Amino acid sequence: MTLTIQSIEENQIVTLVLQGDVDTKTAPELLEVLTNLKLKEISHLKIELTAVNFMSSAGLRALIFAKQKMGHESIVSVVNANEEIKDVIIKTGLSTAVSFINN
Amino acid sequence: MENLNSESNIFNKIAVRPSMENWDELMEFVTSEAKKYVTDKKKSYGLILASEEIISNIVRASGDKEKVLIEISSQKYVSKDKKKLFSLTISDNGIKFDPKFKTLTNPCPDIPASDRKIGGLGLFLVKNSCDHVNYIYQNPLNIYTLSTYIDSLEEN
Repeated sequence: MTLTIQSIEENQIVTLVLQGDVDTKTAPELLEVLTNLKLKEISHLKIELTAVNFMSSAGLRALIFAKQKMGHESIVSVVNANEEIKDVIIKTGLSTAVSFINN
Repeated sequence: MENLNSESNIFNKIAVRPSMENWDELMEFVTSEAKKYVTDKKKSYGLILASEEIISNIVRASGDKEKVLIEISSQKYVSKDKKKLFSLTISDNGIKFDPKFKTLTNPCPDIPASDRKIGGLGLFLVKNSCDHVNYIYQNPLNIYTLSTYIDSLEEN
């Protein structure tokens, strides 16, 4: 399974539109995209997951990485995550750092 | 897995080198088997997730890729109390690694993301995504068994 990532930047809001699985093989690509963003200058990072069926701990680590590099007042959201991915985020306690948006 | 293994049948098996070149083949196997035999979407996802985390550990840390083999098999079990289970058994002959499932806890459930160490989530997810997880070392094999209750022994 491959992962494609489209980045949409608008002022201080960045949306990453993901398509595919986020696992051990593909998470490094997400991490690379995040590394290349100026995370400290972003107020809201939206990870759009409508077309993502699966996310392992490798993907969660990328979310933690982004949150740690962004400013204290900044927001990380996952958009349209399926119930299974939401459940994993809640189970690991990451829902205190990542908000859910359903469009 | 004591008390669970009263009767079992192996359905399918795969054995390859634990390398990223074989990643898709390994994940396609566990995904296909879990979806075929586990009707409940959440349980099926949990089994695939747990398998991914174990396979990832083996691919990254089992040692010499020219000598190590990873083998995955799928089985059904009927427990002594007549409950039906589906299991994926993942084994490798690489470096011994005991995940200590019995004492494993969430690495940092209440720690803000800004203060978390990046790591430790994978094994926590293994333990909490299946109904039963088990590890044994039978020299030279690390053997991980991931099981979930199912409604029927028939495939979907």
